[in-house]
Amino acid sequence: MLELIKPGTNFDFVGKNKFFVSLSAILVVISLVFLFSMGLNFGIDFSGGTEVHLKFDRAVPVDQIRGIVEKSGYTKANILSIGDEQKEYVIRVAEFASIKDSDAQRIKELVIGKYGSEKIKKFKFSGEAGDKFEIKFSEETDVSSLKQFLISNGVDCIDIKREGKTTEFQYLVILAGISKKIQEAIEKEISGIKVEIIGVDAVGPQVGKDLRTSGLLAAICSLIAITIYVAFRFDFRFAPGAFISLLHDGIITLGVIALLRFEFDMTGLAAIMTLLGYSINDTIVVYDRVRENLVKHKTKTLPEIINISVNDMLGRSIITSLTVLIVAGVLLFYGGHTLRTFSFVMFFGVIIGTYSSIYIAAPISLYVEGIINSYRMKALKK
Amino acid sequence: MEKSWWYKFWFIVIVLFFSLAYLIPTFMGEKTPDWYKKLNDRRIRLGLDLQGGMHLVLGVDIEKAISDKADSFATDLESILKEKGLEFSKIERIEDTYQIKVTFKTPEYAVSFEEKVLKEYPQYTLVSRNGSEVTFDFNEQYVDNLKRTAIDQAMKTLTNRVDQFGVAERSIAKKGDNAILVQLPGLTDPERAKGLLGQTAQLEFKMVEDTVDIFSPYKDNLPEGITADRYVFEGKDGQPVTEYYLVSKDKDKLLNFIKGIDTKGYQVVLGKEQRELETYYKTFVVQKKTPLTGEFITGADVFIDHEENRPYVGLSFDVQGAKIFEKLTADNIGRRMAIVLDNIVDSAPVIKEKIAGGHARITLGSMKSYEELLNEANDLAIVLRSGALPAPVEILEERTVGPTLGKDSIDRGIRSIVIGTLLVLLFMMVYYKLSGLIADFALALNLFLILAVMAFFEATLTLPGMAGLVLTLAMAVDANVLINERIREEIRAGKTPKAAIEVGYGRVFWTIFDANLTTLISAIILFQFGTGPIRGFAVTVTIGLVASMFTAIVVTRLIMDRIYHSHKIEKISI
Repeated sequence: MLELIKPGTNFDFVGKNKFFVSLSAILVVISLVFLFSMGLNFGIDFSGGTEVHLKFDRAVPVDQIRGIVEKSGYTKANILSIGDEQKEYVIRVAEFASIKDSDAQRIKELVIGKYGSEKIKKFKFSGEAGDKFEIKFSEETDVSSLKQFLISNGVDCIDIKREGKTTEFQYLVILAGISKKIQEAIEKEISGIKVEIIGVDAVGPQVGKDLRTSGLLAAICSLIAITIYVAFRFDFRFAPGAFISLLHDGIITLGVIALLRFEFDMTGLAAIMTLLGYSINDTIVVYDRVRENLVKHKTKTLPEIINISVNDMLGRSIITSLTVLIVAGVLLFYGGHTLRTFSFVMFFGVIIGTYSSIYIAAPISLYVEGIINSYRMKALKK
Repeated sequence: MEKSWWYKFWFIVIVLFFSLAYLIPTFMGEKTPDWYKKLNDRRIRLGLDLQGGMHLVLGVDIEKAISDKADSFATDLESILKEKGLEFSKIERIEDTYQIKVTFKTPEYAVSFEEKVLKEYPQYTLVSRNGSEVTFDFNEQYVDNLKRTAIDQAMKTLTNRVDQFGVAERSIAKKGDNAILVQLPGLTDPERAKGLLGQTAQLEFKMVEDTVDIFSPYKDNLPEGITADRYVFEGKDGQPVTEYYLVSKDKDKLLNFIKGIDTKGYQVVLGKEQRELETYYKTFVVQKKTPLTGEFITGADVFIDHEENRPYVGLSFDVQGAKIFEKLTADNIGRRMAIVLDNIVDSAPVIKEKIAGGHARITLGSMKSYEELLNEANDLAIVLRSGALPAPVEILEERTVGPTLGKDSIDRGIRSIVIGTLLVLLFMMVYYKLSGLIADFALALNLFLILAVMAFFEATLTLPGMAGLVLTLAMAVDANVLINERIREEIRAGKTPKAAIEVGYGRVFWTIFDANLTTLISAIILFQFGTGPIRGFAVTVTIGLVASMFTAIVVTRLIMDRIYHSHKIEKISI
């Protein structure tokens, strides 16, 4: 029999409570500090913006790409090289529309300068709406000369369409998107290079904000739902421990992600929520054993029973964590950049989850038990 | 062997058989024999991130749609007031509201406007009348109704347009209160799709003013590329009337020229004309006001006129539209009505009689072959049917995955699943020997079952879904670890293998159940919240958890029972 943990092992987990609870409290505080000072490095799902995935026919150093992207006006771009060949890059910029409000203002002035302010009834641009703006003239306007005028003034205009009713002279100017703009800039700087856009993700700022809110809500919902389940299925005394250990796992994992500047996107959130579901497994398994041992060893105190239960389940906890760790490791290695945060959260989370079910959930249950007992004593004395 | 053992055994065999049956189309793909496809063609779908394609979230700008309606009513109001002889000095649209303010020349006009004109438009209600100034607004009920219907109508329109791409498995769904999610798997030309989806086709019916002569003074003095043509028709009194119109191949040139001439208070719109494979543009003089728009159309279909053997488009209007159309045709017999689509005159048939009942017929030009006419009629019907977007749509989110990226993701996903699964299998075998092997068998079965259930529900597999799959397998092992550890304990306590197995499985079931249920709670919440790939993940995890309960508990128990069925067996390989 291969045994990782020999039978009869009896670590005094409960005895070291104070040390580990304080350690965890410090870790949580540090994580919160990181979270509030540096913040999470939100992916475009949550921050809004555009992510362009490019592939070249030759190697280009990352610094050169950064230079070109910055020259195109995206100074805060996040550039990630995929693979070792320097042929594939993911470029993330915070912008959703390819022009900024200030550009739009400049274009508006140009158009007014050319046509006269009395002829422009409306000029509308919104960064939320993407790569286009609307001009309403007081009369029919020649589309091709407007297009030529805009292009000659450095506006990447692809097409101009007249919209709306015959009595209104409303024109929609469609601009080149960010992906096209970056592709063209690279093709211009490096002569003869073939740039292939293999993927584009663009999320409007409002959508990003909405997703962030609903994502937070989803995580909280799942936290509460799990706690309620534990409270009803087991014992009400166990619920606070489960809740706090889950919160502990979530905060520390997020803190580490913030510190390591991993991109936090929807897949990252999915990982956190899966982690909550998984981390409680360990806690449940231990609680379950506590429940069993409470019946079995009627003479022992709760701290003793918890200690026995944790020791009983130690082998299982470690082996299960190991299998999940193996898989998370494989995903971290082979999953590619889309799954990087996801795999990391699972990898790190499994460790912290196993730890918290032993050192956080159990002591808190003890503490709750203590409070309940002292209430009972007081009630008895009365 | 006990009877109940055989029942369970055959149950598992049947489950296996059906799993295999449901997985055949997924694995054989297009090579699946036709007879089999008829029986079962359900298969696992690949998400956009694996298959490549486009994912768009379109926001419907309802506020703008309503504001546009107010804008255009303000424009129409000019001619309405002139017609009624109500003199005014100013019509204003109040910014950031839907309100319109009219300043009349005298307070009497304002009173009569409120009493006679405004009452005819039930969608408007008076805000204030202050001397000669009248301010009115859309009533709340009307705005609410517009808001409610706009998104459904926009969805219908987008569906019609998307279907013109012929993308298989496209999906269009409502997302939240005012957004629409469009998914176009395998689409390779995102720019074209974006263009077509964003178009706000606008259909208008306008009366052609054939008797107004605008162009004859210019007919001998036209710039190069523009020519004048004549159109002779029978006027109201039976006398022939000659009308000049302009023709050019260059649309912009023609528009520019028209801008410079006096249109006598009318409006000039262009129509297309096909002449020997080349498109020409010609002018139509129409009234400024738009009595009828496409929003009243309820249906458009192609019919064949058997007497003339020609296709035509039959239109039907809703009640309000039918009323307007009847009045319009009754008042304008013998005149042409221009059907204007996106500022281009599509056709301008002559009204022959009053048309009641809400049905109209659009006959198409005659200089074409039957086939060409039929195609044209079909296209026109599609556009009329799908009609105008009730509100402009804006792209809020765009995700495009090229085919190479998708292929790369599939490779990564499969590699992760294979390597991850193999390592877990190996680990279990080394640690638990024969019992580990049994757990491994259950695990393989689990993978098989998850895929089969996904095929049955035609679930979508995404890259995070693949990660979820291999992760579920790793977590599923937990059940067997719990059981095996328990059995070891019972053996140590001196029980026979058979007894140990009974206690092990009996005690552990609820622990596994509770542990899986909490993960399930997270997965379900995630499904509610997530989009695209994340939903794929939640689905895979959910199916995986349920399947693992079956394989890890029922299947392994069955095998264990078979091996250690007698109390006489004293050694267990665990």
